[in-house]
Amino acid sequence: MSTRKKRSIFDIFEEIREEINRFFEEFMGPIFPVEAPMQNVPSKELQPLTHISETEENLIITIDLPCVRKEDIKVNATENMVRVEAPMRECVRIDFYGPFQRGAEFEVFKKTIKLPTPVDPKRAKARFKSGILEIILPKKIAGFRIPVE
Amino acid sequence: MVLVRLLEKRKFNEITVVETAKIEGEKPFITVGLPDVGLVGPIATSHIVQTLDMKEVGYFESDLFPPIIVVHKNEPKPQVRIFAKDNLITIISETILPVQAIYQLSKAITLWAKQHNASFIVGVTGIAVPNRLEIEKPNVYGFGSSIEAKKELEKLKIQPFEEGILVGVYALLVRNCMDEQQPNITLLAESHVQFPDPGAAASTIEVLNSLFGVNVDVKSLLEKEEEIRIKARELMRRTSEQMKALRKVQEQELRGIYV
Repeated sequence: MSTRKKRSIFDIFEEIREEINRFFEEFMGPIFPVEAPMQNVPSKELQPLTHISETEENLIITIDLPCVRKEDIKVNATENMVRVEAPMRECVRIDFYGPFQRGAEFEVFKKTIKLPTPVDPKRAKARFKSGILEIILPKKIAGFRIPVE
Repeated sequence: MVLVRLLEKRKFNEITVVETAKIEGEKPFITVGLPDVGLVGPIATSHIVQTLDMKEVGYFESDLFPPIIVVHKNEPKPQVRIFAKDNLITIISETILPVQAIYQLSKAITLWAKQHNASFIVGVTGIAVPNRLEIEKPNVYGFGSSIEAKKELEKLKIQPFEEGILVGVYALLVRNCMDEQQPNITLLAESHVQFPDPGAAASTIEVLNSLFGVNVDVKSLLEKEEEIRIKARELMRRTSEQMKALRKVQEQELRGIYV
């Protein structure tokens, strides 16, 4: 007798929804990148500017984090992504611009970065200088050494 | 289009320059601040405009420009504007322009400058340096398109930009100035490539102070450095996208042929 739990209609819809999301992210993402402002007013979040470069051994991510203290930065990394959360040392207010005619306040930078190649997060290093966070992530190199004859 | 009096319209191919006030200066210096590496040009030139309280005297208009209007202090403004005071004219774009527009705009700036008998067009931009984080005070390098421009740079002891490739709107500006025999000086401050760099802009202003014989204080610019970096994120992001399309990375590459 099968012990498999019967799925509800909601589970099936959820699976379909996730599958569609994954499809769009994997295949349509690069063709139709989502264009969104770099801030979320209700949650008072700003998205920082980021830059990824690479050497033979490392991925180097730099993130512009003005108005942030080193001790407040939280960085989490897996093999495939880095997540940064950095509260500002004081609330930043933007007056009268575009949708902010009533003014808007921001208090945290948040950003999740998908990495172009797997890394070893345990050997990652980070430093913070002049309001710029630099994260060095050693690439995970798998494979066999091929002898050169 | 703007709530000001129109004095004169000058058409240069697909670009129209609209002058809304009389431009008084004789043999003026024309400084150009368009979005590029580190947004050095727009940050430096807008600080100069604010500090010297330069007057808005016109704008550039074209069907090649994106359908954008900037509203400032409840007043609609075109995106590429001209400011002037005494012998100094500044051209600033507040938004990124399409590639096809920058070809025409650089040509129009050059021809318009010639009509105003400009002594120099000064392009203000950055050169991306990979170790910018280790640099406390960025250097500013310069090169001139004519003998007069070179002499001016030597006289002011501006460090020469000896070798390299320039890609983008400032390259076009130099090319057009060479074609039209309009003296051009290009200033390149060591800068972050993908982040707004008010520090690099401040270094450039110090050089422009000696070039233009003005005294624009950079202390207030450096004090609001973090605020500028927050507010300019989206312009920087769009500029980065354009720099990628223009293959700006060539500026970082080693030249293969030396002649």
